[in-house]
Amino acid sequence: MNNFISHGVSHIVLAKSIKMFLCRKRLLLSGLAASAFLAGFGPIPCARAAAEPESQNGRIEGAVRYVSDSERPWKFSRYYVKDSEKGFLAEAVVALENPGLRSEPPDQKHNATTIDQIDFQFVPETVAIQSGNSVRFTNSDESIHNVMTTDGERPFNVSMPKGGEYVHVFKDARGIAKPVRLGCVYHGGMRGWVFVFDHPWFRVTSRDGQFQWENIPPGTYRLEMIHPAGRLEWRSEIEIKANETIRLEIVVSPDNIRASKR
Amino acid sequence: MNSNQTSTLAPSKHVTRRAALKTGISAMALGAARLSLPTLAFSQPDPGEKLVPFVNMPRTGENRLDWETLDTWLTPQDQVFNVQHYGIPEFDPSTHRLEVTGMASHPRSFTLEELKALSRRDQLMTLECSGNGSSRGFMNAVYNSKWTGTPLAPLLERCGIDPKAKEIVFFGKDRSVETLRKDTPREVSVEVPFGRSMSVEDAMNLNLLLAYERNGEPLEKRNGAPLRLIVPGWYGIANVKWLDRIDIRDRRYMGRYMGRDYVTVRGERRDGEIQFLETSVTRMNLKSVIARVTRNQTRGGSIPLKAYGAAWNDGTEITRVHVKVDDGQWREAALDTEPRSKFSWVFFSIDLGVVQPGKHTIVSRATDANGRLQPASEDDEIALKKTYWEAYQQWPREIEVEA
Ligand SMILES: [Cu+2]
Repeated sequence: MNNFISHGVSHIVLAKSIKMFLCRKRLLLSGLAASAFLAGFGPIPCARAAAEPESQNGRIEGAVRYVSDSERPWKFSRYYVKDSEKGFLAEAVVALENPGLRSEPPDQKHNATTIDQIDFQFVPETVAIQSGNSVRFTNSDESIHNVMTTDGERPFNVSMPKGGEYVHVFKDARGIAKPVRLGCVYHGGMRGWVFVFDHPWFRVTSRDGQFQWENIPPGTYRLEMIHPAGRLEWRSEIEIKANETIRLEIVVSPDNIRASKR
Repeated sequence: MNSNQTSTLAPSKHVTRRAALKTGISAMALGAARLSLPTLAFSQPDPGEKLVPFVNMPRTGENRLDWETLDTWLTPQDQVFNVQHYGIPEFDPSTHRLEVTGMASHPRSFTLEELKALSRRDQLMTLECSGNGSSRGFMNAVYNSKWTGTPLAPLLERCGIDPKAKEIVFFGKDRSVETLRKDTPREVSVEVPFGRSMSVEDAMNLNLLLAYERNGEPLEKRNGAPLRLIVPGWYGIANVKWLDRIDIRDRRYMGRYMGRDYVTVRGERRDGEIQFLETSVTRMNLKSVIARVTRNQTRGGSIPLKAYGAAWNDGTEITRVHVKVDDGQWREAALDTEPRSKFSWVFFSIDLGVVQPGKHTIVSRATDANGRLQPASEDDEIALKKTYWEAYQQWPREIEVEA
């Protein structure tokens, strides 16, 4: 039984299917409620407000939505889509990628990610961090667990007795396409993902499917979304201009589900 | 538990369900014309019927049976688990051969084409990992399939089994180094293939199959392609994947997964004392599980509930399944009369009446034609079992419902 983990998920391939609603306006007021324009369907209305920003950089206010399909029911929606009518997708990783993105030293104040083992699952199941930062693993179950990965240059395999704790520093940035897949040797159903980036331009969507970035240097980026547990993937080019806010919805459907490997 | 046994004397309730045949499945079923295989097994939900998620259960990921959405009797490929102990071996399946070696008058080897040219048979069978149900973290390693391949017994007969042979060993292509007597002066490490064995009698009489298809599709590599031994009614470990050698011997094979792991250690009461015994994990035990619970709209402060589930074993006829809410009486569930097949799971359903808002526990218990009852965790055969394999105890499911 100690090789239960060896059937882990396979590598992620980017989808061709792209849907994106964009709208650009000069940002005049920060703090606009993102949900105000995301509640409806179709093109996103843009709001205009009053004061000039200090920065010359851009901003993104986004959401990820899953559009269901009655012909192809998605069994994972009960875990990640709180409101099936609106379809906002939780626990999706979004990232900006650009060859010119500088490696920035990890932000120590964000060096406090914890993944607990509770009710025989990793909670949260999906995290994103900057390389050099650490994840603290804990075990709140009565049962013994383990945390292990075979991915990357520095695989690990650590026993997690009840009340146990293990801190692991993730040194290698593997980007959005190659998360470090976590498992427990005792419980083959336990899985988790740590996405490690060499820059800070990544987010994991909230329970309401929302994400945002402030102060993005102008330029052309690839915007990518991956939902590792649901095997959804999406990407597009995006141009960030000074003093602009881009409000967007990443809309995915069963077309964005990566096919299972034979 | 004995006080409830009277209910098993009541006439058995059965339900026949007819659901539309999906063309793909009906075409697939031609090989087994005596069986109709509806793709939809559980009844369509009533209007307003909603899933009640189980409390404190982990999410179900890919390649695992998703109990709460289970609606097909034959399990789709994306809900099929795989467990391997030496990893998935790398090899070219196009040149794969099966060798028959050892105590045979005509030992020989077969290409896949030769095996596929031999007589072809389908076998409906539920396959369960013997560790399935050992914890909340491992509840989904079971699936039902139609396997297709060539029967083993006539093939072995043609090879001429020596009458002095006692045991048939099945080896897979997967290999690893095994160490015995580790950290002692007599430590020994050798590379060995994965193997499992059974008596000649079992190998010749249990309708074993050398399978190359599942549900009408070529086997997937992770499930043993290009060739897998199928042992109806035995736990998953006996169904050797990537099968490449069958060895006929006159003494017991004691490989790790036959002689050291997949060994159940269980206490038996003898003259007021408990004696422990080690036995090999072979036939599947009688087992049932509640797959899902649904509710309807609150009526006068109470919530109507229904439960659905599955029961399976080694092929002995399953006669009844009972379901109990909290500390109530065991009530008999309706067993589907079709689809049904000797070695496959049977689905059941029950209207549980109404419950008050709050937390509840729902548990099922199967009975077979020999009067065997699925034990509870507290019963000796489970409570005195020190190893986790053969986890066939009743599995209480917790729910919480609001008005
Ligand atoms: Cu675990």
